[in-house]
Amino acid sequence: MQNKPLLVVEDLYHSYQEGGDSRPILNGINLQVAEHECIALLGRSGSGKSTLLNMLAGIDTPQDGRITIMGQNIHELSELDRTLLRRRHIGFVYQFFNLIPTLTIAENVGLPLELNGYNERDIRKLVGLLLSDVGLGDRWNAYPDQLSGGEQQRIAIARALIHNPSIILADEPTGNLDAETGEHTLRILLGLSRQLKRTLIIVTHSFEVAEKADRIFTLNDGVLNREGEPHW
Amino acid sequence: MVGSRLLRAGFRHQRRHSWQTLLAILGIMLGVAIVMAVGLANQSASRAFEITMEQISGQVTHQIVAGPDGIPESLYTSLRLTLPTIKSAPVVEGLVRVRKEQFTLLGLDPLSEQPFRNLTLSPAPDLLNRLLTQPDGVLISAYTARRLDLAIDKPLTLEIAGKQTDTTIIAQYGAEQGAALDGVLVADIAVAQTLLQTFGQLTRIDLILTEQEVHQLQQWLPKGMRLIETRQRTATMADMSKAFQTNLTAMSLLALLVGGFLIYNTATFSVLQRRRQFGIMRLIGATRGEVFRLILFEQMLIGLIGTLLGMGAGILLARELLWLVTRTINDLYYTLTVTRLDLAPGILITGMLLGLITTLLASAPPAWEATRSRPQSVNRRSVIERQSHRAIPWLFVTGLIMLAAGLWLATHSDRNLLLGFTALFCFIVGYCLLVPAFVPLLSRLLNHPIKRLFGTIGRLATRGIEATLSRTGPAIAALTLAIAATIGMGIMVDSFRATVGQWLNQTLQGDIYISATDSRSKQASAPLPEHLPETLLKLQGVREISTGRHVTVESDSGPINLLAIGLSSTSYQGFNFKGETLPALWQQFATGNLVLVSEPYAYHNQLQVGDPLTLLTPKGDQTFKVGGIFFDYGSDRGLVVLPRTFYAERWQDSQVTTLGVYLKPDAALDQLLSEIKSITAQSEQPLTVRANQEILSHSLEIFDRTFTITRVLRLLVIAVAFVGILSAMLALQLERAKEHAILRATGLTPGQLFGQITLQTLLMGVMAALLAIPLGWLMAEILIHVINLSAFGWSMPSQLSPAVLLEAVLFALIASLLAGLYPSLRMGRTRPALALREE
Repeated sequence: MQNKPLLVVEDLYHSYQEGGDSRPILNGINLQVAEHECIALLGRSGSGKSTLLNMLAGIDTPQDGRITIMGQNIHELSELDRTLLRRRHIGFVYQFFNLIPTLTIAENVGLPLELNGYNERDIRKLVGLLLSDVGLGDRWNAYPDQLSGGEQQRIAIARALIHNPSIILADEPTGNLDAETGEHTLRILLGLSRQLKRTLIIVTHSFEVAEKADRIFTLNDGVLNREGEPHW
Repeated sequence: MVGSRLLRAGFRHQRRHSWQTLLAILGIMLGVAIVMAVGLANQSASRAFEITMEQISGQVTHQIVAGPDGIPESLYTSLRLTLPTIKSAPVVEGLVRVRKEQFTLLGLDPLSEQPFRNLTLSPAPDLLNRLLTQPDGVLISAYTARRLDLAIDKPLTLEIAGKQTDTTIIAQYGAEQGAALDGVLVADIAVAQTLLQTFGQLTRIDLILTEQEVHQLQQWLPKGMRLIETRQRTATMADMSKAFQTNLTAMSLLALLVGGFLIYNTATFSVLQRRRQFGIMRLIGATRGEVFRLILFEQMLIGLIGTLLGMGAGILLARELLWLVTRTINDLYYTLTVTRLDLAPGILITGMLLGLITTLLASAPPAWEATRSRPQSVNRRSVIERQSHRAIPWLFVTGLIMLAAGLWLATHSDRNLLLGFTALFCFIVGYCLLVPAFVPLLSRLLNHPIKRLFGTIGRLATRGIEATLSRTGPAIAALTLAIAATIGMGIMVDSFRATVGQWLNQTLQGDIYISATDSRSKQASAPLPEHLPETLLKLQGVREISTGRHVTVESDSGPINLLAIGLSSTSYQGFNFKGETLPALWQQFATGNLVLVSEPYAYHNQLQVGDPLTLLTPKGDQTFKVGGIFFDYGSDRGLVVLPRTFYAERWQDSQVTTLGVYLKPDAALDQLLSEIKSITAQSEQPLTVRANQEILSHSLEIFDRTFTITRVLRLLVIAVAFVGILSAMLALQLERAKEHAILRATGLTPGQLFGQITLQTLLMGVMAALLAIPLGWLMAEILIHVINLSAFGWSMPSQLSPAVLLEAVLFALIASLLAGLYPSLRMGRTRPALALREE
């Protein structure tokens, strides 16, 4: 790790109730992610990858352990402060795109900027640039349901990057796309996050996706293991 | 502040679901319109009464009043001579009809009027002269003249006690007072006495007194006269119709409550439909406050539009309701002419605030709920349903607490109408909170038979109701409330009608009744010809007759309706007493030592059997003992009954107002009816002769007329509820579009899907109907035993009519069928691929 840690996870523990039993989903997770680093979390369905990601975003709370982002233990923050941290420093890309159907794609992409208090002129300028970067500069006024899955995911990537967040969390970003579109979308996500020097954490169950990351971790039975050295 | 993109997302959602937004606007519009209309109609009637009284009373501080025959003119002369410094003016007042409309004829002395009021002043220079000299001259208010197209110096035909009399309009008055004097004719006192045939008698003497003069006058006042404060008298009269008007207001608030439910439903569905959106917004970084404000802002805007439209619609509706309210007040309480709507700012502001506050209260819980969920969980359908099921015990407990509070209030309301209505509100809200707990139970109960009847479609329909409780629960609760309201009001009106019917059957012991068609006096019904009783007794077939005299007399608690009766041998059976009476009642009654009072009179004046009651007789105040309290549904003001012989002697009034004719067992009713009609036709004044069955049906007609406004409001409540159900069903089906698309993709035909959705909405209607019956019955019990009793003093048994229940169940089924029809057709026709593709 060449850079100082941006995100630190220490002894994270979480379990779900199943009937009367408690099933540990995260069993003592430790992780450090440096600035500008790209890591992949591999694991089967139900292994707890998304739960971990939600905890990193501060939208789920672990039963034990701590998560520090930029020196702040996020679970010691109030709900409002956690939201503001997410708003300013985290971008999210989902498997099912999660675009707001009643906003145009430009409005969807501009939403994080507006929440962060940017003025309308700057929002339009930045949205224009990023839409061109993801190859959808000509679809400014289209609504999400007028786009293909791949196009929707590119809009979601643009929305996750637009406010220049320190960390981008991507939950199965290609899971809902065919191989070719997935590959193309992943290239955009990785390309842009490297170009903008962002930290990227990708959750996936595809080794092909994971091998593009700097480091790979697997989540199995609630335990996180390092997979090997980067392949690029 | 809410960001413009968040707002845009909200507005576009509303635009995409414009039917839902429109239905929400319609719901709040109807709710506000009904409250406004009732408020404005009530206010207009009250204000018209106040202004008319103000104008007629002018500067008057006190009045001298007496018994039903009024005051001898000589008393006025004596007053002027004895106490010349006291400002006094004689007044004659009576009832006349102009083109079938009831008017008050006010006879004034223009020479004494100056300090009292300016009704007789007019620009015409020779007016005073004409007023004093023209024997048929009357003044008409400028507003009435314009309304009825009547001109000065033109003849005006008055109908007085059924007889036509010609007069001449000599001038218009009160141009500045506008509609306040609508329905009031003014004449010189002598002209009024001639027209009303009250020669030598005054209705009252108006006075302007200082405190010292009050004392002076009380010393001087002969027995049989009473000095009363004008303000107090006006307030007593205004109070008469207060209970009726309060009841109307409460019913209109019920419409708003149903409207509020509609907003709650719309807001809830709007939030549920967009849980995913709100989740995304929260994940991107929108705070809870921002999401809360966004939802609230949207709903408040819908509420504002609905409220403003409702205010407009309320003004239009108020014009229609005004004549219904005025007619009922005229039927039951006092003469009132109201033709102009008083757009009181207070009512307009109240209507607006009610609309907005209801919107706020109804939309805040779903908005709050949307922001409470953790961002990642709002995306999960199972979480939503799990939360709904988890909320059931809390809702159930809160519901039980509210029901207990309602029960406590109902048993402790003790004549307080407001507490009675609060109890009703607690019952309604409490019960609605229990509904979601019953839905899964009913769903499971219906599952087996429905599955046997309809197979898989049936199973899907019943399972779907329980599985989507977050959606079906509020919709069923709203429908339950609407049906319960129709059942409650229906049972109340039916019980009342049946009680009145039974009471009339018992009261009308005679076979034929005779009375004068119309009275010229406000204090007494028109008397019958003196020799009529003897003439009728001579007829073959007539066994005996009973006599009655209806008058208004003064008491410590204001004017009282008094009935002096000459009983036949069977008239006693016409009285049904509440509780015990004094021993040897009828023997004591015949001596004039005791009076019988009606239930409303006893209730309002808190009288028990054996209590004293003081009445003003021409010989001064006389105290009687209350011998018994009888059931009477003729007037909520109440009635006091005395023997006629005693009344005639004490009040020196031997006139008869009504005659009851009792036939021999073998007498032919029709033949005697014709004979009596031919005898009464020779009378100078028109008389009404009716067989008792005719009176019964006529009375029930009046009863139905009185409840027209209740029925109108009930229909309007149903209309609001229907909009609510339609809105809920449409939202529900839209919400489940994807599920339906999956079913279609799996192999369900459009017909099967149509059947499944229709069956499901129908089942929701069945559940609502089943759940509404206990609530409707509860509402009826409170309306009958708490509210009616507090408002009017009437007690009556509640009667569960199968027709009311059947009507309500049919309404539930039709409403749910209709509400489910469009969504079923829509979903049946939607291509599964499209629905599956939609977010």
